[in-house]
Amino acid sequence: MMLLRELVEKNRVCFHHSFNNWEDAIRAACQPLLDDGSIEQAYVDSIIATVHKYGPYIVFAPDVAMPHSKQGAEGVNNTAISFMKVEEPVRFLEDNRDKDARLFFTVCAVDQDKHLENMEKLSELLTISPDIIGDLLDAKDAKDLLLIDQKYDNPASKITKDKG
Amino acid sequence: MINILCVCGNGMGTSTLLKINVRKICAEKNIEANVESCSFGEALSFLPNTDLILTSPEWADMIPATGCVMATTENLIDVPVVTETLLKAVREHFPDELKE
Repeated sequence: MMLLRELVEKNRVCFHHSFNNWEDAIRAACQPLLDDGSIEQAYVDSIIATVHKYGPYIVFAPDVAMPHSKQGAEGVNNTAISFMKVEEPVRFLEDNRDKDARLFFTVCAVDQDKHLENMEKLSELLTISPDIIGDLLDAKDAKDLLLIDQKYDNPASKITKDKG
Repeated sequence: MINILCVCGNGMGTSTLLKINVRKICAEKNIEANVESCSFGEALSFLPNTDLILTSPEWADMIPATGCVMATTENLIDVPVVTETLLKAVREHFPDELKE
């Protein structure tokens, strides 16, 4: 499993305790990509506007969110993923705890092929084991992410797949 | 051969993840399928060539009703859940495509 190690090596991971609201959580989730110039503030604003408009569909599994807007949106300079873990669940809907999230994979894209490759890596990570979400929820820092990477990074546990 | 379309808001994130997982499941289950993804804005132009739409509940109501079969899943990465959603739709509407 290469994604976690890659994100740690590129400084695209961050850890937080809690946020007052989901907008602040998304701003923080975007910060590593802002810091390295992958995105600009306009993209962050566009992600927040998208969630205001359509609701938290970016929460695509219990506890897991993927903040993103459009491919080639304004303020996107690179094709990348960043990771954020929050201790306290971020509430997106007052009446639906199923849309709470603690794991955030922020995604931006200018290059379609690279983006598809990134999404394949993300899919591989999130489906590698039923335990992976629990492992990520237990992670406290970048070092823990590397340990998770090691735990699953052996050929026997890898899901064999073709590129298609 | 089933033409499957995975739909989400922007055609970039959740629909792409779903497409990747559905392709894997189809390969595993020997379902011959052409799996694509798009935003719900683009979906209209894809619908004439689509047999089965897979999406999350948020988008299901926003996609215009056509002859396509629609299946929804809350969780896009729980492979057993996505597999069951897909197999149920195929079993009900495209039983000839199933070689289980």
